[in-house]
Amino acid sequence: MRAGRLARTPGGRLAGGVVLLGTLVVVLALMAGLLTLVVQSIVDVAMLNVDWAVVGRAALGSVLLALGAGVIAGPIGAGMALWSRWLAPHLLRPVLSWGIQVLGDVPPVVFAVLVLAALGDLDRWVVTGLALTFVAVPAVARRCLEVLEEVQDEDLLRGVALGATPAQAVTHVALPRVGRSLVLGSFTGVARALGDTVIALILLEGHRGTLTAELATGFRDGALLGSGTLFLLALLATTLSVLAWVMAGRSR
Amino acid sequence: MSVASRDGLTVLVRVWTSGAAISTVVLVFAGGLALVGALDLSALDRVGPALLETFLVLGVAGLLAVPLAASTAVGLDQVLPQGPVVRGLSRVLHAAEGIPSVIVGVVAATWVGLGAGIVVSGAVLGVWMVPSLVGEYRRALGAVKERERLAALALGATPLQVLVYVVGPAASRPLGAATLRGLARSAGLAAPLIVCAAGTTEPLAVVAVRAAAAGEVGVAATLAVALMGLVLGLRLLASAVDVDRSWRTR
Repeated sequence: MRAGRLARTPGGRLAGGVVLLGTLVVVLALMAGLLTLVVQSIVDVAMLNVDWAVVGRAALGSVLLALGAGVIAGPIGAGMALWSRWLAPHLLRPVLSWGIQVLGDVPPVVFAVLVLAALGDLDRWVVTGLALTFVAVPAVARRCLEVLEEVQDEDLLRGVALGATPAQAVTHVALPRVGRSLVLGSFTGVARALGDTVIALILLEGHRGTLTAELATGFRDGALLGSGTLFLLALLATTLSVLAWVMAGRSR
Repeated sequence: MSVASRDGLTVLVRVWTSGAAISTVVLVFAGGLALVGALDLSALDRVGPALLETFLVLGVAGLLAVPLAASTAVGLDQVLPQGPVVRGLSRVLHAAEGIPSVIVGVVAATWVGLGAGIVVSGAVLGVWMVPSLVGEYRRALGAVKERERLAALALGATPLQVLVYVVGPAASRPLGAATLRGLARSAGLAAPLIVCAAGTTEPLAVVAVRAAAAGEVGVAATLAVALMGLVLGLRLLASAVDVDRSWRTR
C-alpha cells in the first residue's frame, strides 16, 4: 500500500466517499444511457421493428472494412513499433516514438480528406478502407509500443552478451515473450476501425456504409430506435472486447 | 531450430519491421503533400469562426473533465482503500476508454435532445475525455517517488499535506501535459457533435467533415490543415510542458 494514504484520516474517509460518489454518478450515468439505448434496440429487435436489410448492409460494411483495415494495419503497426523500439538507429528512436504518438492523435477527418485528395477517383469502398488503415496503423503501433516497453533492455543485452546480433536478440528473446501481446495489440486496429464514424460518414455518404455512420445519420434523421443498429454495434463491440480479453488472459 | 532457419527468421523480422516503418513514413509524406496540394486558400475566412468555437467547446470540456478526472484519480490512488471497489472502478474506467465517441454523442442526444449548444457539446467532449484523463493522471501521480512521500511523512506532514505540497507539485508537469494531450484528442472529435449538436455548434472538425461530405475537397483540406495545426500545437505544448527539467535543481 502507498505511504500516506488519506483513507486513514476521518477527513480522508469523507473525501473518499465524496470522490466515490462523484465517480459513480458519472460512470453510472454513462452506463445508464448506454443500457437504455441497448434495451430499446433489443425491444425493437424482439418486436420485429427492424429493417434488417439496412442493418445487415451496414454491419457487413463495418466488419469488412474493419477487418480489411486491421489485416493491413496490424503487421505495419506492429512492425513499426518493433523497429522504433529496438532496431532503428539510436538517434531516430525517440523521434519515431514521438511520431507514432502524434500520428495517433491526428483526427480521422484529416485522413479522410487526405485520401480523398490523393485518391478521390478510386472506388469509394477502397478509399474508405485505406483511410481506415491510416487511422488504425498508429493505434496498433501505439498499443504495441506499450507492450514492448514492458520488456527490459537488460534481457536483450544478455542475448547480445552471448553473441547474438541486436536483431537476433529481438527475434529470439523479445518476440517469444511479447508475440501474443503483439497479436492482441493488432486487434486494436480492427477495434479502432470498427469504432470510427467520420470516415464512413464522409466517404460513403449515401451508401449505407457502416454501423457507426448509420447510427449517426439514423439518429440525426430520427430513425435510430427502429433500426436495431445500436444493438448490433453493441454486440460486435462486446464480442471483440471479449475476444481481446480472452487473448490477454492467455498471453499473461 | 537450426542456426540457418534462425538467421532466416531474423532477416525476415528486419525486412518486415524496416519495411513497415519506411512505408508508413512514405505514405504520411505523400498524403501530406496531397493535402497541401488540395488547399483552397479562399476558405481561410471559415477557419477563424470555427477555431473560436473549437476553443469555446474545448474550454467547457476542460472545465468539466479536468476537476472530475483529477479528483477521481486522486480518489482512486490516494484516498480510497485499495480493494474490489477501486479495482472494479478502474476496470470500468479502462473499458470506457474504448467506447466510440459517437456513442457518447448518442447518449447525450437521448438525454438533452438534438441541437446542443456550446455548453452541452463541451460537456459531451468532457465526458468522453474523463476515462482516458483519469488513466493518465493516475500514471502521473504514481510516478512520484515513494521516498519523497515518506520523507515528507517523516518530517511530520499529514497525508493531505503530502498530497498538496509534495505529490501535487512533483506531478504538476505530467498532469499539465496529460491535460493538453486530452484536449488535443478532443479537438479532432467530430462524430459526437455531428449527432447531438446537429448543426448548432460547428467547431473545426465538424465544419471540415461537412465540407468533405459535400465534396468541397479544397475547403475541407484547408480546414483539416488548420485542425492539424491546432492538434500538433497542443501536442508540442504538452511535450514542452512535460520536458524533464530536474537537471536545473541538481
